Amino acid sequence: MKKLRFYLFALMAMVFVACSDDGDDAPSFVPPASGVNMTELCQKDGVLYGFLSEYDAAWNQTIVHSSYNTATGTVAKNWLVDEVSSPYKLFAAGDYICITTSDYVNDGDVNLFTTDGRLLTNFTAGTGPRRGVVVGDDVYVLCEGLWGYNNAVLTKYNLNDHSVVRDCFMQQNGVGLGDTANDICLYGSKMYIAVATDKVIWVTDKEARVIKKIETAAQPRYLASTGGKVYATYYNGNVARIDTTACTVEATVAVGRNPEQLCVADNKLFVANSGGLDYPNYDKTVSVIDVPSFTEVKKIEVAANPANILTADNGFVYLVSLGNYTDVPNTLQCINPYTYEVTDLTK
Amino acid sequence: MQKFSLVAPLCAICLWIVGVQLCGAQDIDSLSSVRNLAEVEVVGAVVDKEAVSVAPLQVAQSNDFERLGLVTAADVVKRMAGVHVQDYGGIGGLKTVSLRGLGAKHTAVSYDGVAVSDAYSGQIDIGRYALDNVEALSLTVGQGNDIFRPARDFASAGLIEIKSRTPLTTHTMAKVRGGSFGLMGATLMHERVLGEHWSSSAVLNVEQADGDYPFTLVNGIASSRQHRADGDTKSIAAEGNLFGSFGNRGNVQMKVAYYDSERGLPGSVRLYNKDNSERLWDNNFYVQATGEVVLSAKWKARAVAKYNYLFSRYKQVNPNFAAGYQTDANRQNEYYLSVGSLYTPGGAFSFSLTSDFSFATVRNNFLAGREPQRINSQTVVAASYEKGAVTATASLLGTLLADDAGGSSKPDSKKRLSPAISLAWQPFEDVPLRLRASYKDIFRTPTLADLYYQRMGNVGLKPERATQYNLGATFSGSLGSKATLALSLDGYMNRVKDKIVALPTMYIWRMQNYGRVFVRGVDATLSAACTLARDVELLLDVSYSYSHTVDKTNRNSKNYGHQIPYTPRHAANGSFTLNNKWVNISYLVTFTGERYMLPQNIEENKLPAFVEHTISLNREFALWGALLRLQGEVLNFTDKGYEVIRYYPMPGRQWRVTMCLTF
Repeated sequence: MKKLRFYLFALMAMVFVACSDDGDDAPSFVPPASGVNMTELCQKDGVLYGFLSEYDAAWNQTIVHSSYNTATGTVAKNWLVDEVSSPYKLFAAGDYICITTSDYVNDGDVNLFTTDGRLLTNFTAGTGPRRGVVVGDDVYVLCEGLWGYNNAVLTKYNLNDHSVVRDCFMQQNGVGLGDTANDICLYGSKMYIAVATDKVIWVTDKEARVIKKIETAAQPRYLASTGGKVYATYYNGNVARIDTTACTVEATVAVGRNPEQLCVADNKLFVANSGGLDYPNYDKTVSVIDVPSFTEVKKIEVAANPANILTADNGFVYLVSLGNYTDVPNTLQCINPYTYEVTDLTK
Repeated sequence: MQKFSLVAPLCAICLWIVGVQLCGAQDIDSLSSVRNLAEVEVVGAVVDKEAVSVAPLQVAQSNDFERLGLVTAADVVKRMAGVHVQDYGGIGGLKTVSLRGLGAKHTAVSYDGVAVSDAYSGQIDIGRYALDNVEALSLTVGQGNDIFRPARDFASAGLIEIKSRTPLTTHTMAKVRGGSFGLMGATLMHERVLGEHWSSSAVLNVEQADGDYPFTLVNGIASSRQHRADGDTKSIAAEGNLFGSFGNRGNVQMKVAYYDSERGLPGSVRLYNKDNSERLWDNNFYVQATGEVVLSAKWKARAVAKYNYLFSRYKQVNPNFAAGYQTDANRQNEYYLSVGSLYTPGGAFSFSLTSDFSFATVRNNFLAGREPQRINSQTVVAASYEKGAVTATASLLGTLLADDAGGSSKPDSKKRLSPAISLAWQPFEDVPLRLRASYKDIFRTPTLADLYYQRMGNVGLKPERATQYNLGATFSGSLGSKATLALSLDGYMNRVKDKIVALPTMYIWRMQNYGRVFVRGVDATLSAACTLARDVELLLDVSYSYSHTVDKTNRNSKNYGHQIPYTPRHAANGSFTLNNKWVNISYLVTFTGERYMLPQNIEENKLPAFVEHTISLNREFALWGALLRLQGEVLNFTDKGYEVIRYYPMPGRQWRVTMCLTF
């Protein structure tokens, strides 16, 4: 018994030491100087960018963009005003912040901005451009297409010669991506593209040539990667783990209702459970999945209808909950990945 | 619940029909002579009616349906000029009618003089109407010659009128049909003359199909042969009619009808995923009565009443829902009354005044707990002038519409005046050429779903306005003693304002008045008949439509000035019939030009043109005093793969055989 206590003590001490080792670059959280609210998060060099909350804005109204420097706490609004009508999504690509436009039925554009708010260039991508990855000098933009039209496309834009290849997936493979593509991620030497309604995750090389077509058991929604694996949220309430060598789904774990985005922090996955199909009873939890054991270790209560989630350079998890689109507005929150403490940044 | 709702009205109909039939007399006339007589009358009437109409009018008669092998009202309407039937494929697929670039909700359908309505969805499925007991189907664009009709008939851009047969003799008809993809159907109809003034009819129609047809899915350079699953359908329709005809004193008609169906909705085809589990149940019961009284040489009065019950349930099985499925149940009740009078003072003028009143309620689990009600009051004053070479009609419709669903957000009541004017002129007395011009300003009200559907609905919606102008000419005459020819050519212009569309806001879609559409087009029809020999007759019908239907909403939009989705610039139909004493042959051809699946006219959105060919054969036999009619069709005999709506493939080659016994 004593021996056991000793081992336990020793183990705890090791853990303590390990923790304090980490302590040197332990994340420090700097709250924003004032209340900040944004949606469609992306991050570049420790600065969060998003659209200012305008939950009832008509699509053709100019939406104000917002930034929050997580290192200094500086909040800037009115950034990039009037340049873009009907903004849709935003993502960081190379040196640029890309703001896409969409009216859902016509082709949308991608606008490349420098971080100081200068519109560099724009190009037409396809219906509903929503996510992008940078491979060398190329930006691959994934356009979701319109539900039921099988017109998701992957468009390639070259940052040097500004050439645009519409639907380079079709060009490389002779077949279409499918219906309602939701997310693309670049990990190692491969790209992963989640196509929701077709229940497919395409694994391609960096030229968008198909290596493997993974038929998934449910609709894949968003992707994240860590430790040699790619993770996908399934809209039916699961997260799948994909082995990147065999390109197969090797395990799934149940999370909350209609999970949206997910991110990795402190070797854990943080999954935003939206419950978006359960109007008006939205889910309001973030599931925490331990990466090595691939089990859910915690459900953190957050504001209703969480959707956008990312890990900032400071190691903290930032989360946007969308509310109910009418009287409950959206909220920006910060989750401490070690203590699971939730700070509301919107107030 | 389903079972019960099916049994009760059916029993009521059966009892009523049996009761009426038993009371009747038993005089059975010689069948064939009366049939022939009826046909002769009809053909004479058609040509005239279309040619003298002040607004574009197209009519098809029961003998046309039979010779061409047409089965539902959708089959007839889609062959007419200026019409585009949105067809989601299959036997159970929804079919709605768009006229001259206007949305389908601008087209009204009336059945035996009473408008068919759905205050919730505003969507009328024309594919539901079987033609077994239909005498004539007509389509009017704008305002036609007849001013003595319910106010609702004035309240839309176009009107499809379906008129059922009035019994002339006592007889029974039994029909069975079978065809490709598990199609099986049977119709039983009994018509009875009940003495000098009264007659009755009863019709029962059952149909089912598994709808599992093959199609080719093209995906880039790959193509694969696939099956359209989950397109099964079964339906039962029953109807009882009582007709009273009192010569020049007036007439009455009463109808009780029941319809029940269950169908799988196969949805759009996906490239890689064949999951689909959507089903739809529909249930409809209604009673309607119309009565017309001649009060004096100058005055006539008419009353119409209807009670309508509509139920539909949609179920989607999908693991994304917490419960594993979602259902959308919808229940509507509507009470409708129309009262009107016609005053003909003598001379060329006549005047009418008609008032309609309706009250509708909707219960739906997707209205966020609200229970909408709609009160609609419509009054029309109309005048017509007919003298010598000139025919003219003018009308002014006043609409007062109030919706309420309780709660704080109540839509404004809608008040509108809608004028229409039509004119026809025959310039030369001895040349059967007529010129016509018409104008109509009309609107469609937001449906209760547009206003109240949870999250998407918008109580601030205004009506969607449509203005129509038409200029045309008709020619109808005989070429020698053996041939007749009818031609029509109409040019038109329509403007749509405040179009009601679903638009995305940042995260959710909402209904909004957004959109202007400009339409310019030409409709042309040709119909010819020629007697070649004693028993050999040739009939030809051709229609062509040109439609320039473009979006004029927002100059900065990528689809400004582009042809709106699913409106072909060119479309044409033709049919050619050779009637003879051996076997009657008809050949039908449909051409639909290029069109786009989305508003932007880019290569990626283009749908190719297609031509579809059908052949139909029939023959009648006299059989122990009964009449046996055999009919067979090969539809789409070139096995052309095409789509009307993108990713809703249409069936390829199909056959259909019908056997009909009348005794």
